Amino acid sequence: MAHGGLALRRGRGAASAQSVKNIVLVHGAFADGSSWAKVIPILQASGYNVTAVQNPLTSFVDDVGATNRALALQDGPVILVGHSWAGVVITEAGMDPKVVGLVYVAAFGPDRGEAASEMGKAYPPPPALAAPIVDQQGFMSLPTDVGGEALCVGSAGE
Amino acid sequence: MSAAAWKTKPSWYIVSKLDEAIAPEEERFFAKRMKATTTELNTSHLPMLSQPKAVAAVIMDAAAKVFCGQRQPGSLKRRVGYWM
Repeated sequence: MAHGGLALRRGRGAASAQSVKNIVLVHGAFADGSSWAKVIPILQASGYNVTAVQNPLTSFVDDVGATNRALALQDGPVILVGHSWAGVVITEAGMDPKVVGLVYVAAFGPDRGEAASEMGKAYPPPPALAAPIVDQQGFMSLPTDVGGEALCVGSAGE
Repeated sequence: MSAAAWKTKPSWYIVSKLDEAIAPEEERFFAKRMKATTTELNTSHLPMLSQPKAVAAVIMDAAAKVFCGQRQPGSLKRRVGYWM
């Protein structure tokens, strides 16, 4: 299903005539498009065209670029969805005129001029991000014992 | 960042009440500031894995209602006009 770095999935059936039919999903940091694997089939079964962006996670500009390319492929109005870090991405990419609504999923919702690195400082430090591993190229990852456990509290399933 | 889309477009927000990556209080702050239609879920930072039906329901609610003019009615004509 990969096409130009995007996972493209087209649903069947019919969302109602007055509703938006295109959904673009943007994953967060330390993650990939598979974040949405459980949500995509539910949306498709209801007739939506679903695109999961694959963010490079190399920079804000790069992630906005990947999201803009996915938006360019849509044939009509779009609901743009972002998880976590991708809240920053959709806040910028959402200015595309095709985007008619935004859904933030446990996501940053910055205003103009606010950096993601500054936003959490008024709140207790999040356990999941307490001890990231930074390699010699400056890429960050999370230790599986700490990051994985803290990220997944309550995620055993419905 | 050049502009914040939530200032001019209707927004929905899912707060994860057990979040250990972004503080739930911070999530509520974002949701309130953007005047989002807000849903709180008893879950971690990954609601799309723990409660995919609830997350899909919020997305579909947004898709169904965004053109209804219930929120930010002043911008409805502009949006419809763009696509018609």
